[in-house]
Amino acid sequence: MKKKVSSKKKASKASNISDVMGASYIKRLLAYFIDMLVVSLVMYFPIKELFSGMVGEGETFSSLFAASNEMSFSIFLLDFVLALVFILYFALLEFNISQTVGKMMMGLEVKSVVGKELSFRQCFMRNISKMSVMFLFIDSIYGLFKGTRRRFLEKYSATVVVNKW
Amino acid sequence: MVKKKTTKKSAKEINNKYQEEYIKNLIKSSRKRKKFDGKKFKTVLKVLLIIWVLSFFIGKIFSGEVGDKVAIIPIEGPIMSSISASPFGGNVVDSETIVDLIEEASEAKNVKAIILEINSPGGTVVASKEIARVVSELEVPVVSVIREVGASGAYWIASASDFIIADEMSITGSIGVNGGYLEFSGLMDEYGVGYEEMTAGKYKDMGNKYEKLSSKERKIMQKKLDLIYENFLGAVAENRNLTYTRVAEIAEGLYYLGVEAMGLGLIDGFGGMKEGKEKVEELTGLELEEKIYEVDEGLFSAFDMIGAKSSYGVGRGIGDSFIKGNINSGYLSPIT
Repeated sequence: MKKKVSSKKKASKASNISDVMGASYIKRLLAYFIDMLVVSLVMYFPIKELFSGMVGEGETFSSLFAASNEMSFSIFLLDFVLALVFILYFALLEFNISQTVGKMMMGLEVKSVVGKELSFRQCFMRNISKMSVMFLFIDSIYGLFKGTRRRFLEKYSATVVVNKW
Repeated sequence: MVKKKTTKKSAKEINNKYQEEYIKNLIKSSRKRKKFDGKKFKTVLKVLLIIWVLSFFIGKIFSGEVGDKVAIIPIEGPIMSSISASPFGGNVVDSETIVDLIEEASEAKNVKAIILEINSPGGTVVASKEIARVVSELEVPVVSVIREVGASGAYWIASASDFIIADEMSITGSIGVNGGYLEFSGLMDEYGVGYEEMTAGKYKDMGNKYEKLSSKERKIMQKKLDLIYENFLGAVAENRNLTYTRVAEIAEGLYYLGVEAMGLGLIDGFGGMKEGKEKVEELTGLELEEKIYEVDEGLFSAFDMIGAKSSYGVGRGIGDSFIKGNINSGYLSPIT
């Protein structure tokens, strides 16, 4: 008698397979650096005046944080907004074409483990950790510890990065 | 029928039909690498454009928050060490508040200079001196801009700054000390009202408003005023880089219009806020945006002000003498 496999179990199995099928971390790291370069170049000119005005000689951002409550809040808010824009780059491109500039150059692609198409929610969720290098590191460590090729948020958003070629 | 328990197996151990189908589909969906995909390229350009536009707006919005600033601190009205010390309630400058504002501005990293916008006839000695001391200790350039009047204690504060700007017709100077109070002994005599007081300490009731000052008591009080006056002269001489003798010559409690004060070395330039801003930009070598530091007026403060203004309208004559002395204690409270 044939047993029907539930969609949840299918997803779970697919997810387990994706842990093995995912692209290597090295390729993905290189793709990330390329994306960072691209986004930094695009964002640099509109906001460079902000940073040159904020940080004086011998100062650092962390010293500015300590300057006053008002300044700390302004810098925190600016940091947060810029991080959101950074995530938007990844989310929009992955939603539309399953790739970013870095992934294109490294021959990588984002796939949904459940369903055919990637949803914007999936693309946004998988990239949230990119708002901070520390968060991204912790997210990636999960995969290394678990022996998988997926970050924690990738597992949570049911996505996987695979080799396109 | 016994149900088999399914256990979690690692991906490597799974070997069934579904796995084979999935892998086949995955390979099928991966297309051969195309040399150039025009549609993808357009999408990338669109997204990068969105990112650029967003960054542009973020830059515009935040430049107002984090650019280099000049802090403008208004000093408007009589200067006292506490608002409660004045019968006018909130209509005076509380020195503690001004000191807090100055310190707050100087601690902000993006504040590169301070402008004191002064429109005050002066105030009590301690209050004026408190503010002047904080101003003289600042590390950022400070420019005082005197509006209608910046005299006496207000001039003491201005003299502590790096540069003083006033209008040609501004009233400034009035480097001197005065103190006084209403003395009712004659009125009491007229109405046959007596006054009995017992003290321990010969001069304990000196300055009592119900008795005339004796010549000895007058000399003692005058000596104290002279001491404050010398202190004031010394501070102005040091701040303005003038000799004590010269300041003593031009002081004598005289007030000067801006055009006269310039010739005497009491101010450094003519103008108003615009010139003040130009001066701070010259001193710092930066383009600065203005940021006003002032006390937030709450609802009760607003009611306080309305009440205070009404009281002043009714008791104007008494109010003048209130400024000159502390009527509650009956003792001399020198005003600069």
